[in-house]
Amino acid sequence: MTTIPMTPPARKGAFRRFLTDLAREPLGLAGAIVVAALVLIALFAPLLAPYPPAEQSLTDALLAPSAAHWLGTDEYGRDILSRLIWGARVTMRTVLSVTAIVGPIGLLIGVTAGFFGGRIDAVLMRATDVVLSFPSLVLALAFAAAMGAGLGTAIIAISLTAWPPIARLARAEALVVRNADYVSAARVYGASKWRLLFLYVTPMCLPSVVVRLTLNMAVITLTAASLGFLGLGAQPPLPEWGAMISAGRKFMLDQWWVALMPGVAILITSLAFNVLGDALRDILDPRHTRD
Amino acid sequence: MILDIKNLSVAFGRGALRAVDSVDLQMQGGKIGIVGESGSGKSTLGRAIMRLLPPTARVTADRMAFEGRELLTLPEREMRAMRGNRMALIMQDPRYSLNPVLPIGRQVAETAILHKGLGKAEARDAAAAMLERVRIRDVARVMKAYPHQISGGMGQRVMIAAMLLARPKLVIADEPTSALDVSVRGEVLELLEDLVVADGASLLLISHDIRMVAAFCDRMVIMFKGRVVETLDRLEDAEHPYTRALIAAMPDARHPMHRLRVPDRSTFEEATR
Amino acid sequence: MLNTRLLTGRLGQLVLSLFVLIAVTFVIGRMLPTDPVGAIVGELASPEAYEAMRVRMGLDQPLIMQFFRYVTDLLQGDMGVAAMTGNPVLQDLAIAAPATLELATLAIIISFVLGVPLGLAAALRRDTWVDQVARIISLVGHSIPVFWFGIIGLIVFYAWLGLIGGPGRVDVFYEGLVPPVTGMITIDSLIAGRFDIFGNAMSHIILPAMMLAYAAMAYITRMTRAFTLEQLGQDYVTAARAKGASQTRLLFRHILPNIAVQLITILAISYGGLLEGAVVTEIVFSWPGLGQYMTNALLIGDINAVLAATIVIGIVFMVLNFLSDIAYAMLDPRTREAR
Repeated sequence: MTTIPMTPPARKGAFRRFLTDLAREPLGLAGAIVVAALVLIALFAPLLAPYPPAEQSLTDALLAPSAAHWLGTDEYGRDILSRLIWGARVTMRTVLSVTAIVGPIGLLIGVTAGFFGGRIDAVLMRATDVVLSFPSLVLALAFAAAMGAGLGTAIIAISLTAWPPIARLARAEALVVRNADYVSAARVYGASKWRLLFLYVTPMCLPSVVVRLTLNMAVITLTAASLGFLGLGAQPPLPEWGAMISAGRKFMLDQWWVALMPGVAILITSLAFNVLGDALRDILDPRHTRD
Repeated sequence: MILDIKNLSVAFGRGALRAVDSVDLQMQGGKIGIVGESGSGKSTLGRAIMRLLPPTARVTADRMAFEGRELLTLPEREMRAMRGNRMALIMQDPRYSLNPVLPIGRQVAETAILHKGLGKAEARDAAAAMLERVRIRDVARVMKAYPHQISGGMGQRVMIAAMLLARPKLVIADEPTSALDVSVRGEVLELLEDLVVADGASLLLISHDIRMVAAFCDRMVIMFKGRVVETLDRLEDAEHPYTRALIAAMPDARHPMHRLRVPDRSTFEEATR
Repeated sequence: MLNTRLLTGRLGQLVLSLFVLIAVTFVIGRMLPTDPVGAIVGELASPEAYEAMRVRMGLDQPLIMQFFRYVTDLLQGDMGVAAMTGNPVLQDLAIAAPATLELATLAIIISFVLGVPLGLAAALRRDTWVDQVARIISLVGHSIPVFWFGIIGLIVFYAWLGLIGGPGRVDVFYEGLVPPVTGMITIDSLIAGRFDIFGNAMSHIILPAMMLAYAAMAYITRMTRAFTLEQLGQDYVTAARAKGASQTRLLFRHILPNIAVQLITILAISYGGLLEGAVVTEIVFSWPGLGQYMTNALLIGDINAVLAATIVIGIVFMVLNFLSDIAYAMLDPRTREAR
């Protein structure tokens, strides 16, 4: 049974407590570090990459990993490590953009449905259930195909079907919170519904939504990679990890590193988000039974 | 001696706090009641005797013998042969202690299959016979019914039937009437009395209701914070402040008062040390 | 006794979702930046020919009428003609579907046979090495791009070790030798008694099936573990133990029946997920199923075929979810009666 606090949780010192909690979870900490590293890599790509990502050198094509090229070169002689580093930028942009779209929209829909209830709830949840029942990857593919390939369309395509789980979650939280004592107290003091919604109910839904969004980032990474693999994501010469795998497929028998390396990057990124999300869940959601 | 327990302690996980703390208990027969509030360790004690605690529980004792056999060192396979056979546990709420997706007949017959070596059909007959013994009227319907289709009182009888089918020598009843309507509590207690006494078995009744235990049992063991605080035969013999406060806190229609005396916990901590 | 109110409610939801899906594909189809008329008549067509084609395609009608025509065409099975093959799309899909079904079905069987016991073991031996291994398998399975995993698998097991057959469903010289009964070469070859072809087909299907199965296993193992842990904390398990039941008996006669319905739900959801996984992975293995059809159509921009495949996969997806929803109502004795 959840206990609704009489007063809203204290914010001071909460962040520091959170950091110490995170430090106690070695796996989650590792995930957080990797995610932070990816963000930094994406930001400082121009400084970190040993070669320009689009620089071709056909005499150096398909070289095995060596001291000069740590991860080898692709069919145009481009350094794979540099392309991976620049590709981190594309991936991070995709993941963060989708999350920035899906988070607020899902939160808004869910909290509104849960807080107001009645017909609004029924309509919103009906719409949410419909979109939830769609095959998201396939639809994203169709959408991206119709709109023309590109990073922007990929972001929109993924966002279109990624919000329902967030909305459902926010609604469930809002349903619990709206009956809390401190919400009723505020209502007695004359707080308007909108004030209640945004200042009281929504903040309580944030922890589990944040957890879910983090776990979602892993899925978004994979979906974006699938789109890129099929040529629907960021277009060349922008290095996109999924597209790099697709290009490397032609040489996979003899120059396997071209196809292997980008996949490792995707795997590490996705793992990091999953692990971080799991740790966040253990910390932020006390109801979730710890393993 | 049915039960000979010396210095039994139970702690969970890495914590130092003991759910059961140095408990001594000796039982020759008859009915003994273990009384305590929530968290007193009484349920944990019951389960420790049957070795039904989760693996995170650390159980230590100088001696924990049942019918002369030391239980703590018994291999699990032999312990399983004892459970449901020579010692039984009746749990509190039949809504949860019965398997929701199995028909009742099967759940009662399970004991017969496990300990009497009966085949399916004979076990079913044994189960039906046992259900009659626990005074269930429409045995045929109940055998085929699912737990959610019968009342709480009936469910508890079913539980008793399943646990007592093999005629165990020790019956541990953990709050057997707490989840029931007040009107059926008496019937279930009566049933327990008849069945247990008829088989010459012993009953360990765990409850928070000191008055019920006093009326029903021969001896009472009062527990507080995992320790045995007092052992008495009659309520009037109560000496320990905690026991006295428990008795005093219960409303009595013969002595109406304006305000119930709520126990003052600070005085107990000292007295139980 | 079926809970008819629940059934009609869910059915209504299914119909609504299907309708919205079709509407969405219609909108997507109209969003094309290219000119559908020009694509057919060519750039040098005269204005009259262009207009004639426009009328023939119904593009002069108001949008609602166009949608209506779209839906009625769909209901009659007319999904247009594929630019790749020149065939009606529905026909192409009908040919491609069994290959995907064969792959997805084998994958789901493998993932269940491996995943459920692993989840059970992880729950029963909680926090031991079994549990940790299951956790790692699950975690990696959630994070791995399946198509890349397939490529790695091909490199290792086909190129380097030569253990399994390469791309395609069978070796080239076996193609077309087995009379198609179900469209699934593994089954058809058994029916025809050609064990050599069966072996060859198995060597081709085993790798893609295992790759897909691994991705599905992540979810199945995790959920099985969670369900089992939930049951282990229930009073009836303690009661059964108090009766003297062994661990095995507990598992098979008490816990499994309680989680069976939930497992079926997981099965349905996983199957849908496998279909999506197959879409991206078939192209890696040159597997001639729905996925490869769709990805090929994507690559050449045949939007008709893409949307048709989307609808077909969407229908299967939604029907699976629907079936798993009502499975609860039908199989769980607690909800069997209408309340």
